[in-house]
Amino acid sequence: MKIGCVNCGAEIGLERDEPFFVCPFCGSSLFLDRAKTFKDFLFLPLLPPAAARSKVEEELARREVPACPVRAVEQVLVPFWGLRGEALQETVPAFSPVPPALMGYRMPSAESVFFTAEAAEGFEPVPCAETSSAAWRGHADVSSCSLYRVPFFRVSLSAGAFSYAVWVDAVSARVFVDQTPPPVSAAISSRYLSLVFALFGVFAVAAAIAPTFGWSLIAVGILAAASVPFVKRFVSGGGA
Amino acid sequence: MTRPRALSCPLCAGAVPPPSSTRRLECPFCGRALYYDGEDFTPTLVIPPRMGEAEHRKACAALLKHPLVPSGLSGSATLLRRQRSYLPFYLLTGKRGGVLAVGKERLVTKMPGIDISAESAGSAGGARTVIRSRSEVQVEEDSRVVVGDFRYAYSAAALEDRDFGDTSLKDVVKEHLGEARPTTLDELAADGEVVDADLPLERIVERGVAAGTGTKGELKVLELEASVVYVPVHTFSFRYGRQTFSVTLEELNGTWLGGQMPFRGDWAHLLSIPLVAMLGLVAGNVLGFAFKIGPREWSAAGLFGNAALMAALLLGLAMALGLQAAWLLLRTPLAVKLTPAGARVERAGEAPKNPFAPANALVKFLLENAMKKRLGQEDAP
Repeated sequence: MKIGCVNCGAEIGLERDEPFFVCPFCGSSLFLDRAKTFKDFLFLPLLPPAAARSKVEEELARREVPACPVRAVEQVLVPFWGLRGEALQETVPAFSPVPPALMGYRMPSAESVFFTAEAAEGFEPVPCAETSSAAWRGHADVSSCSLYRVPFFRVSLSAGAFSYAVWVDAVSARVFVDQTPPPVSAAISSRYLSLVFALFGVFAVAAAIAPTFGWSLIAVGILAAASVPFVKRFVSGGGA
Repeated sequence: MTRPRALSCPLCAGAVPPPSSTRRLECPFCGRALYYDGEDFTPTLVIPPRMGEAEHRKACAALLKHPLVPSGLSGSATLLRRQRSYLPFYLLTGKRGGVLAVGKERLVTKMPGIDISAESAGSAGGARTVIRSRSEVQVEEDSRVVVGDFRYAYSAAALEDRDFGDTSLKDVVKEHLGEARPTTLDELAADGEVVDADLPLERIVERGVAAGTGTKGELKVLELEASVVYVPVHTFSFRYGRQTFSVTLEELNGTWLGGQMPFRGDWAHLLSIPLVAMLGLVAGNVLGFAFKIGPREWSAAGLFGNAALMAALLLGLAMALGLQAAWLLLRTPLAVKLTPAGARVERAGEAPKNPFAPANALVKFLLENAMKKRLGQEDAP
């Protein structure tokens, strides 16, 4: 890679990705802004916008979360640094703040092209963070790095006092979500109702066969106390 | 933000690396102490986190045992990931001054007397107006030269994806400013995510410092020194059953800034047990009574004429309504919202329709008809 010195204008060939270096001609200390000098690649979107909504709905259904109204669907190009080294292949977010859902994101195994605004039509590029390259700058194992822009659908959901963001990778169709509304599904309701009816039957039979009202009260009381741990486990389904 | 790029020592002309955290530099060739006063550089400071691994565990354990969250949360929740982030704040210090227009209020008391002005003299009948003693406030315009120091902290990043405001963090920055030390972004990045200071400083100065000049007169910013102070926060993401949730901890005072947690629905489950038990007790006793008297004695008049049985049926209806309330509580998506002020329960979605509504309407119709019939019989001659 060759760059021009901002002080004397000389053309300097760079051997390594050092952020600070000295111009061999005028001796000026120079800073290399990686976000503006490194290869910029783009993954082309494969998922149509309409499919993003259905992907989100599928993910919510899988988590037994009730359907939430979609507030907005944004098409964004999210930048990541692709770091390569002898024993290193790492993806580092090049934007900030990084939502918890995209922490630990791995880039899709698809072909990429050089980034141009025309190639990324319809997707708004998320600006690179000035601080993002600081995470790996000076890392001895990094021999090369490139900027990869991954198209995402950012689906904003509104649910009562909360709002949620679901990220759909437009290349691999993977869904990334950090938080969702609590699972309140029909399955949980059915479990609850069937339990209530079963308990009602047991209590009613116990009360009916008891010889006196006092005995029926005692029998129902004992059965109710015994059912507490069972009810907790049954309704929660072993979790939330 | 532009950066200083090419620097040379004014003494020996050696190439000097650009400043990274403070304006104080040292020439690597002649060792001369230098001070960079260019406006294209903003010093970076960090307030180091005061919480370590043990403090994090303690804070999380206390949070997961909160009375509003499920009782088994601390034992069942799994930590998925944790991330330290440094949030940027602009620290603006300097002097501001100018001429401030002020008004001095004076209380003036007019003495009693007789008004002999022309208007009064020309009034009908030439009567004189008698003025009683009265007080009034008079405002005298004045100006004052004001010069003062200011120190403000403003959020330097738009934290749209975070559900906590920056208001409480501003106070934390001011409170712990004495602990701030110079740092570099490389040093911070080795410890966690460094959130970009993406709000332009010029806009902050224009809208913040310059806008706070008062309503009268002109106060100008005479001196301004801006630096970026990074404040550490820690985000913890947990999995609980089918749910995942994240909470954010500020690492200086140990305050939870924001996040969502599951609400303990076991209250509704446990509430439903005594309600079902009472309902079963009533139904069982009614059933037992019906069997005891035998099928020959069964008649609507016989069953419904029994006051004790009627009371039991009404009690059963009340229990059924209670069960419906418990069911609705279970079906309504509720979650615990964390704020710096504390935790509160919020609805995370729409309340469902009550599936028992037709049954309720039928019972209401039957009761209304029975009451009308009863009242009609009483009113009949």
